[in-house]
Amino acid sequence: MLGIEFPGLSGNLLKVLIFFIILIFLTFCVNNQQLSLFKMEARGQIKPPFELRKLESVLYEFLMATDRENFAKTHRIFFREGRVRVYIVIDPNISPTEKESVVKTYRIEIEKESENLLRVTVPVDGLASLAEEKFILSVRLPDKPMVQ
Amino acid sequence: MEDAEMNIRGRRYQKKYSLPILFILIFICLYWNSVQSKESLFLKEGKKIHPKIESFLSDLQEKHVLEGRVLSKSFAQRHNIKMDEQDRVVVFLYPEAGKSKDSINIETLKAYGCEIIKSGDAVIKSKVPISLLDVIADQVEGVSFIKLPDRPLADVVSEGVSLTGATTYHSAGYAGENVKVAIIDLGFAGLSATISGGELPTSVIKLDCTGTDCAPTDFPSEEEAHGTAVAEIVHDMAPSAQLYLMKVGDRLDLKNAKDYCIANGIKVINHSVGWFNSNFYDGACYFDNSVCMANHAYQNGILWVNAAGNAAKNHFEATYTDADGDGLHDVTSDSNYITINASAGDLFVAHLTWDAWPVTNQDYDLLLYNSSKVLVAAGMNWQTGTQTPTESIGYIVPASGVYYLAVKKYNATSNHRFQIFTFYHDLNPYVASSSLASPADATGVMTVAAIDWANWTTGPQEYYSSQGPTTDGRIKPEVSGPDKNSSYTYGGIFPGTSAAAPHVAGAAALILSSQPTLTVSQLWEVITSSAIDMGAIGQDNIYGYGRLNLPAFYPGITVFPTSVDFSDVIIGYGVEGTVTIQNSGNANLVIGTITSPSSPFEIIGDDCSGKTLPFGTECTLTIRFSPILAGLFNSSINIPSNDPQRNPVLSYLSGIGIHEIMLSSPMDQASFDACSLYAPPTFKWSPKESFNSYSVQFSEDPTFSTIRVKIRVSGKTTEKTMSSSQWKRILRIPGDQGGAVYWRVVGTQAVGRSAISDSHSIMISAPQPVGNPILSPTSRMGLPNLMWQNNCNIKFKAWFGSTADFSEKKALSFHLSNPDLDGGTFSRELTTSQWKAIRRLVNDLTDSTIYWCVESQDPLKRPAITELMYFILTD
Repeated sequence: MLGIEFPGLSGNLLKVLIFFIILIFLTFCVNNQQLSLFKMEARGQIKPPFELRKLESVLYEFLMATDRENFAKTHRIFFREGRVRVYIVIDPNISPTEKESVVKTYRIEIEKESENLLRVTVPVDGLASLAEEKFILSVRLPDKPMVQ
Repeated sequence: MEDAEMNIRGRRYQKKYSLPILFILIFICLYWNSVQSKESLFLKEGKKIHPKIESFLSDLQEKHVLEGRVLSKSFAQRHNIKMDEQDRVVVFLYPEAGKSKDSINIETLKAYGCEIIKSGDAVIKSKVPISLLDVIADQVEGVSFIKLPDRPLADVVSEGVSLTGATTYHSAGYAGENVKVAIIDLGFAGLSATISGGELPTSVIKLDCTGTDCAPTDFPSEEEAHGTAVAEIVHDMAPSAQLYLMKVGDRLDLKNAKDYCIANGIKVINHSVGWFNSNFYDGACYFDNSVCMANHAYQNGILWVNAAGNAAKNHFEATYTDADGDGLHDVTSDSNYITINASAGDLFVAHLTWDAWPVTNQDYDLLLYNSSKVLVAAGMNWQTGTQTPTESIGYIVPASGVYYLAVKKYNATSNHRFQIFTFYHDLNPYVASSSLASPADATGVMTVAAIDWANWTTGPQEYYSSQGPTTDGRIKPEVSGPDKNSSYTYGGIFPGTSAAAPHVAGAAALILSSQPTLTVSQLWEVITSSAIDMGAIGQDNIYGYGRLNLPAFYPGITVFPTSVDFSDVIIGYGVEGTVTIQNSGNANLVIGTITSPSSPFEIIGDDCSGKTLPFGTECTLTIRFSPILAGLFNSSINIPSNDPQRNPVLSYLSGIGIHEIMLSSPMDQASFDACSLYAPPTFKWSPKESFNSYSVQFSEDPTFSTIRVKIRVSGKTTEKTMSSSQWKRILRIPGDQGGAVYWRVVGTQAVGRSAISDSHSIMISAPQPVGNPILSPTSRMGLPNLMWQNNCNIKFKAWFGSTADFSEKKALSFHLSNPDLDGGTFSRELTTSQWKAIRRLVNDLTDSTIYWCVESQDPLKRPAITELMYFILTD
């Protein structure tokens, strides 16, 4: 079928072998985040596209990562049950109704807020569109203070 | 035939290769299984639980696998676990129950890289590779459990306690009593062990502020022990202080913690934490950053003590330049790169910010290259006007070696000053100056640098201790504290400014327990002024004001109020006031004999003279002000004591004696002439209470020995407009030449009690002769006009004489009903007969001299006369 024959191997055994090799290769790629970074560099796409200019670049990398769980772990990103914890800065002129609409539309769960800075969790798949929302000024990771 | 041959050959190959291929497949399956099992242990479950390994060790292995040796070594150190150069830790290996140590296969242990240190009957002490802990637990025959060696419950006290003078305070009975200190930190792992080890009291209040608000907690699943180690030092310094352990994770948590501290009377906050990329390290408050929090705490009377940071070699600062036009900052004339050495598995963290806060459209990026100059990580946020000028990198280093950081100008209209901080890796080149993170850059923060306690009196500062000034040029830090002290929590030493800061926070608690009334600014002053200067004279950017040195004991006298104003007191009455003397120092205050103030003040109660006041106690003086005269009185109390700085202290007294009835109009010494008879004045007064009636009394005697005029007024009114006749009687009191008349008001109440007002004088003018008398023309042919200013006179007699003694004279009389009519001017043309009669005095001879004067009389019938005048009769 593939046009290649290995003497001594039956067709089914060969298929199983190829399947395992592909599986291992994919697993290796998934588990090696650095590889994906290199690939991104090769494409020159670490800077988010302009329409995602309000999204912190590491969050863009996170969205692009093939293994988001691992990326989140290595980058100390809170990522649980498909939701990621971020700071969003909203337009201070947003009306309560508009704010409520944004929260509902993007399934935002507000953890804390102070003036127009909100600590929220959002579904990871809605992160990019949230960053494009006109009332959102920036989407970034919360602070990571350091013990001295 | 060929097919058959092929089949035979195929079967031969099948036999020949089937087995190896199967082995390969089995190996792959095993590998896959192994990967899956690791993931299930470390990734999927989130926490590895191995039944044969103590949980701390499991955590350590997990960290080592996931986060690399640098972070796991730091984690180990914070948990009293020492890692050697080969990433091994010392553990106890236990055999199965009832068996001896010999049941453990020593050779297998050694094969896994273990080093046997010693052994007992049923335990082996050995160094084991962290990464193989689970393998050893599973694979080495006879091993039933692996745990850390026993930790003896030694009483670990920071060396900083005695070095900073805290021991002296403890001996004197000051240990932080009644002072609340908050340790706001990132984690409190190991707290239970530290408490059970006696290194922290059970009374600590534990709060987790990472949720919606600060809530009580027992810190059940902590990884970070830093806060526990910090609290241990505060407790060593101030054992009786009430500690609040507050966990935060981000700025909004920090805001909750700060608000809690303000609401709960916390006086000192220790924050051995640094925050990055939240301003340009210039003390600016943006977006609720840590500077906002610290400054607000200070404004609410809380001393915020913060570690300066350990970034002296982890900081780079420059103004962007790109002479070669390659789009990257020129770190040197021939290099675009800052070099970092990193080991495989390290977490590399770097932060870039530039001087374009709070939001900017000036876009720079931060790039990380590997040793082959291939870009491996980057912070490439867009800056288009709504974003902060920040970039960050977090990168797990895949291979040990040299890495390179670079700053790229992506889109900026000018060259900005920028700063880079890394967390764990030294930079080459680095810039030690201005390496303070936030909120160590805040004006309201007492920033603490570190000196190794072993070099406490000589220095130098720790090579890593962050330095000032702030980016806006303020000198920082404020003071230096000791580090590398013994730590129970860490089971060894505690290096870093994180350890230096809690020594200062603890010292602040001691000072507050000895001087509870100190304000935050006074506390700041006490700490900085008592520091022993090191480095450049005065405050410098390395040591601040010098090394922490708790001030010696001295009594402190505080007198309040410093001035007592008794205000208005009615004559004959007395008002009391108190002066409190407090010992605000930290040694006994001995008060000397307090001298009495001058009259009309007097001390009527003295609880203080000759008394010894322990710190925090007070005594009072009662002072009475009893004026017997009207007017302002001032005096002072002289309070001697043994306060070395303020002795004696003066408390100033003032008061005004007033009458029960105060005269208000006319003003004292107001002047009146006879013309006032035509518009008599109104006399007004203000009583402090109501009276049934008043008597307005007038006398030429200020003591009112004789009262010449007495006018009764109903109590319903407090003023009296004089009638002409009444006023005339008053104006005549001083006699024909005028003079002072004194007046007062006497109020009478129904019960017969009367009160006398103060007295005012009115000045009655003497009678005035007419002014500017003129007779013109004086020719024989015409009729002259006679003119003068009346000057309040109403009757006039113009005398003319041929000689100066008026041996022969002629008088002309005039009378006015009101001297103020016609503007107070008299003008009358003489009649022909009058003029002739005057000329006859000199026989109507031309060039004769005629003398004249004007005699006048005012409505009070007081006479006046002008000087002698003359004129020449002309043709």
